Amino acid sequence: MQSPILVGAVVYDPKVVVIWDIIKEFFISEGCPMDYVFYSNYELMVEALVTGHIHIAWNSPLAWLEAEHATHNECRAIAMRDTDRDRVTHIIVRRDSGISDLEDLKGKTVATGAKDSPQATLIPLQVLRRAGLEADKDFTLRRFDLLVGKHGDHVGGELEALRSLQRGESDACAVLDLNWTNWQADGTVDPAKLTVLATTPPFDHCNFTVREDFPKEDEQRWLEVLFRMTYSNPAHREMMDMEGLKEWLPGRVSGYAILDEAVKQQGFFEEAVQSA
Amino acid sequence: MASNGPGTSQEEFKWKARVSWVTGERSVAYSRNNSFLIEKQASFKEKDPHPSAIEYLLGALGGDIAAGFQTVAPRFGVSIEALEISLSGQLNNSLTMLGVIGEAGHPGLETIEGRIFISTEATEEKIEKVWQSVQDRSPLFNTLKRAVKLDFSLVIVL
Repeated sequence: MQSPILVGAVVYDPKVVVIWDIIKEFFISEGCPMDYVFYSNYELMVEALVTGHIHIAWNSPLAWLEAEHATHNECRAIAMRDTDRDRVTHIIVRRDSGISDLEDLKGKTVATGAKDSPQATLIPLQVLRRAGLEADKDFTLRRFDLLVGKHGDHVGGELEALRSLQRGESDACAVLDLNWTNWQADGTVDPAKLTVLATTPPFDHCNFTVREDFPKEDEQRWLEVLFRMTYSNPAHREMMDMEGLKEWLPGRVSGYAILDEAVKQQGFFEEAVQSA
Repeated sequence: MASNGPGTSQEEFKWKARVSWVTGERSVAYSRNNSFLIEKQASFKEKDPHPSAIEYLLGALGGDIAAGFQTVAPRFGVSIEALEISLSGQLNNSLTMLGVIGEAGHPGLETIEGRIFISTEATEEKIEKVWQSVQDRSPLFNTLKRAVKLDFSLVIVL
């Protein structure tokens, strides 16, 4: 019997096990045994990937950069969701605020998600920096550090930032495009009261990461099964709806440039090492 | 003739169950002339072919209490027309049950909440007495209350 390929994932909600059970069952039925290993935070999972405890890590964009950093670029992004590609974050303001461009945020309060959220903190702050606005110098940063270590997978911090804008405690906040759409649809956001001030350049989100020495034939075998998952299969659809995708795509690394710029500018990894 | 007079040792009755693994995370339990299927320790899916172990535990506690009411109420002169119990249980940290590395806590039940809906013409005071007696005599309530926070309330409906 082949030993299973071990895939790591960070979980904060036990319902996630349903997603991974569907994936695992399909891989076993296709003759490519795999198992999952769950972690409470990305730092632990990246360490497990680097030390070889797992073969594949379902990495957040920040965890991908951490893996690159920790392996000295000796890793590969092999697959991702269709929805991981070309995401954007919106800077949201109240319609009656009188704020019409980024420069108007000078002297104001900007709310963001957790400090390690690429979409709700790191990338939008980099966009503001590009526009000449430094946090805590040109504007007050109000950060909602909920479930740090989950890299913003838990939308709690992002939602709290939005709530703070709605309560008038902040003048702007950062919201991922998918959340902005969902929150308008479910009534969390009243589009008559809030509007998009600016939008970040597109960036990519999660990917399946392997170390450079992961055997190519194992990777090929695993990817062939992954790409056979299809939205037209009801079992796969259940998983895909929960995980927010219609199709698995090959991995690419061209969409992490702005996050890379942000973490370098902010000395994010150096800061993380110091605080560890 | 068997006799249990003073000085005679008396062993407590033992209930027995036999459980066999069937397939995957499914087992079957046999007890006396009955059997029932158990699907997983606990499930986070919306639907499964059979209840999970945790659901059997909640159901068993509810069944114990419901039966207790039927036994005790007549002795207080109380007639119960209908009774329904809703229960919910919460683990201390369900992520530890899934083996999430880096999580703290334990996978044991932390609390069980229950609401007992009783349709009766008896006074609230009398029903409270019945409920107290049910708790005193319930094997499962008395077992679980030593390990889990049990938070039950009575709702009298006409």
